[in-house]
Amino acid sequence: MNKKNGITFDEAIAFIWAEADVLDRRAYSTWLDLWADDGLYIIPIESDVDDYATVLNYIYDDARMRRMRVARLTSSNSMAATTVAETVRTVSRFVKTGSENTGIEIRAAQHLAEYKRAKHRLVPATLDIELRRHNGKIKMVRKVVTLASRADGIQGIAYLL
Amino acid sequence: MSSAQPHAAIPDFGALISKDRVHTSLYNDPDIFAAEMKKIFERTWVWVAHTSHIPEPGDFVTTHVGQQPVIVNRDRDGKIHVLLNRCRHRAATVCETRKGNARAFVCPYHGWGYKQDGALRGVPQPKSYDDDFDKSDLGLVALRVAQYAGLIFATFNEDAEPLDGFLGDAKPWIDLFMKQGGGYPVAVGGEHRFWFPGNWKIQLENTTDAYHFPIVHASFLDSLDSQAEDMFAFLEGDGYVQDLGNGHSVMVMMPELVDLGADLDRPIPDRFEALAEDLRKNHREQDVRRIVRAVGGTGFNINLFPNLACSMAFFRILRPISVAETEIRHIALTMDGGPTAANQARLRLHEHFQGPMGFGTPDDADAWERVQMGSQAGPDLSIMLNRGISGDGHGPNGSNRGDVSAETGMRAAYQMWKRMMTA
Ligand code: FES
Ligand SMILES: [Fe+2]
Repeated sequence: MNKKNGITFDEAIAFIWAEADVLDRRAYSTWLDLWADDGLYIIPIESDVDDYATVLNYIYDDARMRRMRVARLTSSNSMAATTVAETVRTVSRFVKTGSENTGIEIRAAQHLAEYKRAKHRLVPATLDIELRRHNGKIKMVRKVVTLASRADGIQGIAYLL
Repeated sequence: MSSAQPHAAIPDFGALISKDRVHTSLYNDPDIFAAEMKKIFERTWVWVAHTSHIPEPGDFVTTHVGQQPVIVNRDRDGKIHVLLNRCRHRAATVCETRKGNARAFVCPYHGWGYKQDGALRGVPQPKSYDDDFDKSDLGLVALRVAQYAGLIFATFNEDAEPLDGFLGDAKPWIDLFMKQGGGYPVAVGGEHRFWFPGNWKIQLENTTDAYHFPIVHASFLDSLDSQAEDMFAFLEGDGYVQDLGNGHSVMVMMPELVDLGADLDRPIPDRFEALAEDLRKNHREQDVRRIVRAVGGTGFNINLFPNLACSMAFFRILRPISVAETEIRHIALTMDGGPTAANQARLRLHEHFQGPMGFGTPDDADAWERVQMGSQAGPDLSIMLNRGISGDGHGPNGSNRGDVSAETGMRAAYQMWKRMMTA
């Protein structure tokens, strides 16, 4: 492993747990800082697609869209986002899926429970996360959230996965 | 049997609809919902697919007509069939995948096999059936099918008027809508599917409701550049809503985007300048302008009673699940064979507003959910539909036409509801 730019498995797990905590606390501006400028945040409808840019997704966000998305969720102008959903998520079952040379690729399971309008709902998903070091700091280069229910109707989600 | 057998009282559905309002029970009475399935969804033309869903022989999709599951497929001769997804033996669904290609449908329970046109081809162990077992009586039940401009409709009703007449004045608007192919055929390009806990007619109304846009979609408007934001400030503009007959209506929000094939000399909006530059590498300026003008979709919504809308840049399909549960599909459209950059731009625009995580749809869905919750209060109150009512009778040829935020389209839909529910 390249000592200077490499990311260990343990470092990756710590990063992903910290990100999950940031999202449950809805600290969205902190979340924006976890990203590399060229990072892509993707929530697909279909799995096993080579290039998500060529198909319709739920979310296909570059840095500009991520900023706009956070602005929407934190403004008081979205009725869906102001009816706050409490989320509690657990990320585990980490597997290393790529080489560790210039970064690391991890697959993990995410169990998210949402509570809104006196109802619980579960939003289970597989996460594929690619991390890279930028000036010493670990940044997210790619996060693909593959929902178990991706192909079927889901109710609106006004928070980040 | 005595002739004094009491008749079950037939509810007076007509009394629930006035010219300018409808009764709240239309949102939450399960008996009304059950009657709607019979009197509307099993009597009229219901949209089931677009021809680009099933371009090749054998291609199929599964969907619903009202609450009944159906298969829409293309046989080896290219003919389109809509078949009930129910085995004629003991009712199992014969197809459980949402789309695919099949030479035949074999029921997984006891193995009855059906041809692409639904005919029963054979059954395992036929010898224990009697001689009068007639396969020709036991094909998958086929619905009547017709299409217009690639839109495929089906109906259970052999007496329904021809599709052409049913669509009537909506047809020229459908033709205009399809110009967003930018010179290429329009093709479906993936879809967002979501549901909300509310009645289907809340969504039917919403497609022809410009009034909510600046309120509900404030956070979407904030995310636009100033040119696009001006374009979406249509409540200040010259748009209008027009009743097209048979429950259909059109809401024109951006009159300058009615005919995407015209006015190609208009300046290219800033947000599409990079796309235009990219297209110029391989296309003539006139083609670039036509494609770019089409890329953002049209400036109007056509609401087709009861389940389809051709809405700016996508198809909106609603499916009633129960009186207080509705599934919505927002089907993205692409230019079939068109430039990759233009099609990707269309997909990104769709993701921006639509779907359960878009910048627009979750807020719409939240409003609809509140309508359903609020309708539990004041059960004798009415849903008010009187915006722009003074325009009724004053549109072209005496049609009903109001300003862009008029509730003319909703009144049109409910008058058709009344006609069908009291027939
Ligand atoms: S239910 Fe289909 S073969 Fe028996
Ligand atoms: Fe809306």
